[in-house]
Amino acid sequence: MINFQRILGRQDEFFTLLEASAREGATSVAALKRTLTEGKASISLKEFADARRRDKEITTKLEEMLITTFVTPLEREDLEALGEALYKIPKTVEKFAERYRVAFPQIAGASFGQQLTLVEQAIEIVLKMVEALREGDLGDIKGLQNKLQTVESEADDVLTDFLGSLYEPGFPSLKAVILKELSDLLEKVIDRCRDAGNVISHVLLKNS
Amino acid sequence: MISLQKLFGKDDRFFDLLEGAAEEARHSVQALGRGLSQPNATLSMDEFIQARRAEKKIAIQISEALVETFVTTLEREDIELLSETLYKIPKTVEKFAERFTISASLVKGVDFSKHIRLLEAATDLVVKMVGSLRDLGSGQLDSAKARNAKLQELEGKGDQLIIEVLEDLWSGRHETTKVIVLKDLYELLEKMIDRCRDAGKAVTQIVLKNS
Repeated sequence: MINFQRILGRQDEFFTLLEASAREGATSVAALKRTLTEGKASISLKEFADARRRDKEITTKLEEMLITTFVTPLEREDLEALGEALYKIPKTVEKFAERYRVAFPQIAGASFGQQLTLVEQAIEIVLKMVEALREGDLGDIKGLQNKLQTVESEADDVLTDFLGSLYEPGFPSLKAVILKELSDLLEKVIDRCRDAGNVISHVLLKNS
Repeated sequence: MISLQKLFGKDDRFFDLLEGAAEEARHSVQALGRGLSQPNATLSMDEFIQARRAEKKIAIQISEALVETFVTTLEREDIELLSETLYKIPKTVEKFAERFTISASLVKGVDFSKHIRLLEAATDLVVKMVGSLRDLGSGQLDSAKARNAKLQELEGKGDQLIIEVLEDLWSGRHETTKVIVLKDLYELLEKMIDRCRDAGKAVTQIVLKNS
């Protein structure tokens, strides 16, 4: 028997998966905040790995649905690109956490406060944008995208200032190498949020 | 005279070319493994350059065949994606060999064998997966998914190895220049495993579409 539901689309399911994926990103950022705020030497990676693993399952399901579903609510390549960009958020956060844990003895006391605040803002905006996509609230998406661009640009400035302090003569070289790696990864988390926002804005343009 | 064979597909040719590309990728990893296993390893660039060139030639043949062929069993973009991903494996191997050669004095005696073992296992799986494309159809999906899961597992092990390496490099026991050089080299090895994972993912998606 032909399953028309399968052929003609499971529109809601796509949005549900995308929202779930964005929420896993937010979960991993919340875990990151706790880890960096506590500043303890013993860091558990479980929360990060769990969020990334759940996101992987969501993304795999989304990719399979894109192949097996005949009608999708948005263009296939947009859904695929958005799913991929969202998955990279908890993946990059986990990468940061793994490196932060092994580097802790060398960088104890280093502060990522400014970058972390911007990462939190970025993921919050992305989550709202993904939710607005289901509602088809295009005006809202435009405003959120502008905010996301501002956060991303501010993050670039923060990174440049941070690097400036690392490049000061006399700054311990190994510590500089490690801190640069870690701050680049936080920057990448914001870039992945920007990528997700860009896909959503692209969808907005196509449908306006 | 219009060649219907030309217009309506030469699927065997695509399968031959993709299999050739996967074999070249495996060959370049094997050459790297052999080179690095020698005491006081010095890598001869010729073999890596040739493997990458052979892969490039295959990628160009695939692009040309896609332009000339009217109907293909596999979707065009899937063939292109797989070909592009396979090409990146010997390209990254060559990049590693170049970096290794210019930093030989700093990396003398460093053991890369754990990464090489993972890479050899990953390229073996990629060759098998690409070979399975000839028998597309029902019944292939479970086997493709199982191999893909194995590749993901190898990639996870590669990520874990990098963390172990960084823990040592960032311990303060090594000179900073050596830390920078080795991190660069280990990340290139990790990237090769990532490219194998990408190839496995591309094959699995093709199998899923045709199951």
